[in-house]
Amino acid sequence: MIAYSEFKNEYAPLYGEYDVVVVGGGMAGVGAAVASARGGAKTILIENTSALGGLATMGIVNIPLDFPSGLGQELFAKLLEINGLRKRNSDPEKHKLVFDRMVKDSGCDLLLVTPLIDTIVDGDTVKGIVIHTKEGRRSIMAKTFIDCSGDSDLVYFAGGEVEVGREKDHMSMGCSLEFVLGGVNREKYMESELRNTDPKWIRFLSDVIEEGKLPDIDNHLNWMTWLPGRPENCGMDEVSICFAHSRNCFPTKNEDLTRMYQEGREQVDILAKFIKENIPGFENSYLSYTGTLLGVRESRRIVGKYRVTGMDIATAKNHDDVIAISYHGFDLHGFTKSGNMKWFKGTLPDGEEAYVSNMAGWGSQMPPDDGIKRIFMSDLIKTDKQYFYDIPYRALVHKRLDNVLAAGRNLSSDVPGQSGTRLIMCCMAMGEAAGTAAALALKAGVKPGDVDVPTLQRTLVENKCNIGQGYRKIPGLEDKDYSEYGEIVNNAKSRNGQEYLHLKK
Amino acid sequence: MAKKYRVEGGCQCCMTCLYECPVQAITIVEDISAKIDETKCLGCGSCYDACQPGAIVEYEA
Repeated sequence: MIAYSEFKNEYAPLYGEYDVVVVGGGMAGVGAAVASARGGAKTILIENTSALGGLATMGIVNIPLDFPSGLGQELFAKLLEINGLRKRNSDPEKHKLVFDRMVKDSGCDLLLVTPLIDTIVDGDTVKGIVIHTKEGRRSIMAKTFIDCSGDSDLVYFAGGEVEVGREKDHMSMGCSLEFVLGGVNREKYMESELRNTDPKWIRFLSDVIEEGKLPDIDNHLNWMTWLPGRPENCGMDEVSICFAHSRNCFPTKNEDLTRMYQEGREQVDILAKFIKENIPGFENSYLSYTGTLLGVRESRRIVGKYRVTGMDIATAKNHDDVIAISYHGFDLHGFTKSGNMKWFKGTLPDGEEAYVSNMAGWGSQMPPDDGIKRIFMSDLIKTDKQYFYDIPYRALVHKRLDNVLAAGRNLSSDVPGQSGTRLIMCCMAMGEAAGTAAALALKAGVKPGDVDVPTLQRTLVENKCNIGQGYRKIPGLEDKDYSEYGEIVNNAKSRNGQEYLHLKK
Repeated sequence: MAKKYRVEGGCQCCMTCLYECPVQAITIVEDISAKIDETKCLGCGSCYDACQPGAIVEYEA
């Protein structure tokens, strides 16, 4: 952190002055940058890697799950136009192209391969950032900053309050290096007994690990999915796989990131060979590539004006300042050992402690057998309506830095709360909300934290975001009846973008 | 006879179908597989459209 009063231009000559700087060009960053630019703010987006999309592209997590916001639907529609989306599978290469074009068309400036080095701070206000360029350090001054770095780098460098990993030892949950296999005979795999009777390879892995044929990298196949727009059913299919995991993770330490990338590649080497030798349909498969970005699920989160918690998700809590909704539920991956945990330990409304599962069950690692009550989320929330929970705007607003917002996996949250809000399309929705808010606040001449929330919500809804307005009354949106919107969304034949664009509201 | 959908095999419990279903006809059974309640199923195909592992199939009820 450089104090504004001590900052000298010779240290980092001025690159430009903007209304809004967005740090991080992943799903949230693109959402924020495009929304901010379209909202009329002079915006620049800074990205570390060579392409946009973050884990969805560079991390090969090509399953864009969760409610798509307005910009999310636009992404889906544009991917469909170039054969880059099938159901909820995206083509990472086409996704990169779509984002390149969306950011350019929005009028937002962009710097790829440009890391953030430092921030220039005046008390509780961030005045600028320092970036690394091939020509040396440069500074960018701005009025508002949106931290979409995933690891809260901007906030951390500015001395802003953050929390890292779990409370007891700041360890983060398991990180995964995704990979792509080519030369797959999809039909053969789809028809196999393994896929039809043990689709997550739970029994199969238990056997082969016990027999010593495979190291205990995980006790289930986390996911395997097809890349759309590639050859199909001809023995040349490509699949993306999440199966290589690191444990005991500290992803805000470069030495540990280095360890995880190398460990991930060694695991993928073993897994690719094992899969080729043992899985039907994969006899001619080969390793195509591994993720450029490690799948870090959770690391450094901001301390914001509201902290989203596990109990918020478990009770489907509604917030007046909702700016995005999610359905995913808890999704924690083993901190120190194999398996995933779709549960957490919380305190119920009546004061009793309980292990609460998400709607899909417990995951592959059960809670400890220690006598503490176990309860299904579906028993806690009895509803015959669409289940979802709210992300409040206050979770994106830093508690002290008065011109800083965050969006994406680094929202203000506890670990179980974060696990249910970090899905790809939810990150983009949070980004869209942050960018929209930044532009609105500048127009109104107020700090981002003081933006008029109903105006923000109305703008998001007009831009086709789903903030739950079809399912419940949101204070501030009471001038219109949006219940029909819920019906339309619910009855849309397919959520992959086309039908959404027909919504006139 | 009406067109409906059921989960056949290969479910990865990503839960996308659960949230696409307009009538909440889908549950996940013990994290092993999604299950579609035949009596509630409208045959709209939203789940089928969403299922990326291709675990959902159409049938005549």
